[in-house]
Amino acid sequence: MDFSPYRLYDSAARLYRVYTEWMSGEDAWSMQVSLLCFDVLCHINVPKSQLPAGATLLRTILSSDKTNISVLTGNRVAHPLLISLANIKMETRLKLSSHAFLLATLLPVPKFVHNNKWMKGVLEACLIHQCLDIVLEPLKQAAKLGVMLSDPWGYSRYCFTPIASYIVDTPEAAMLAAVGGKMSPITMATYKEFGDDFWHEPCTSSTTLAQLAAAASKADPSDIEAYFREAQKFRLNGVHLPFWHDVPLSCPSSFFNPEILHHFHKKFGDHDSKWCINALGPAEVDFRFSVLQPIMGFCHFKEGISSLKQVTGQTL
Amino acid sequence: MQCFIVGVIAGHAPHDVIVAVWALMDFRYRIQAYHIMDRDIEVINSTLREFHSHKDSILNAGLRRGKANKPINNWHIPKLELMQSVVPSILRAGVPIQWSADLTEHAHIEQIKEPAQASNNNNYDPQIC
Repeated sequence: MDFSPYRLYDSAARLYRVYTEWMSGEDAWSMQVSLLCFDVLCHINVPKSQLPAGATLLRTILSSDKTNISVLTGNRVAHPLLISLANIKMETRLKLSSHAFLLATLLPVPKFVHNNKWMKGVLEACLIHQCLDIVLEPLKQAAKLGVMLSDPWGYSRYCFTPIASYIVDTPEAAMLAAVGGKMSPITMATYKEFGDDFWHEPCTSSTTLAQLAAAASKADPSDIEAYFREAQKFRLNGVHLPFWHDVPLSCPSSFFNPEILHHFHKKFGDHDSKWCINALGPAEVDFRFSVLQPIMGFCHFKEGISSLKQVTGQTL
Repeated sequence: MQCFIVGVIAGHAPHDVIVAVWALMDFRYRIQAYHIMDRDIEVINSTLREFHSHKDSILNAGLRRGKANKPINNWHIPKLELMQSVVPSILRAGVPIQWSADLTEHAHIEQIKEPAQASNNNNYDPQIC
């Protein structure tokens, strides 16, 4: 476990910063830097403290994804919310056998009878946000006021628990960030700007909340249909109170971290490999893959890759 | 499949396409490291720039195709936009490999699917929780 943020360098001269754990990042540092430090160092870049002196940062990792629970029969889907702690070191947390992720709750998987297809999406988003609001209430209290918890050595610590990361796939990230489809959950980019080669302005919680307030001034939030139309003008999805609206130090632009499996491996399967197949023609690609020497530990594609339907992380 | 793709398409695909695919590949492998230094971040940024300066060749060659094999002439891929926020995220919150969904999907099996199979297929929720 890490309890204090640190800055890691590769030499004593502090030429190159090394980034590894969450605690080695800039977020943790800036949250923890206390007023005391501010006076001693008199460093210009040190921001004002966001936590009281002596507080311990415990960062929560949440993760939710729909998953199929029935084998062969039926179409039963569960929507679990898992919870973990970013303070646990990566080497432990990333091991499956350490059971670092625990089931927090099962979110409802509703079926709506409304006629409009888009209304169903809006209703589901509202419901999920409300459920998360209820489930995460203790977490929010701890993030606001702090809570006394004992660490593995038995010492009591004054802990604050903002959200560090929310591991989800892209459509669900958009839903949780309360932005509409085809929008980036973390930046202000719309789908037309997805190919731009620079980083768009982050979409912070204050921006989104200000837009929601503006929409609420024109339409009543309890009238979901009218409210959605107003929210749509601000590229939002019609959820009036996103679950993160009152969690301090947590903002969708920072807790939706890039996620290796979905963002990179699946993108390769969905796009990059298609470009290559189109460039060479399916027959040529399959032939070239089939003549590769099989290597232990790597997949070998005897039949080629052009007809693969669903690719998993392992085959990629 | 990812490990071989650059070698497999070499010599047949247009040069710029190979560069673009290679740049993405390089980017993808570099961000999976457990320790990322300032030096690596510069390299990551430069591979991403490399891709963006060569990406037009993919569209020009008509390789991005949708349904019915019609060429798509845009870059409306959300994940391409998300790649821009990788470096800021590393600086803020550490390496991306720690947020991999592989882990949570395995946790699903352990937390949800196994109890669900042990149940009697009725009223899942109280039996899993």
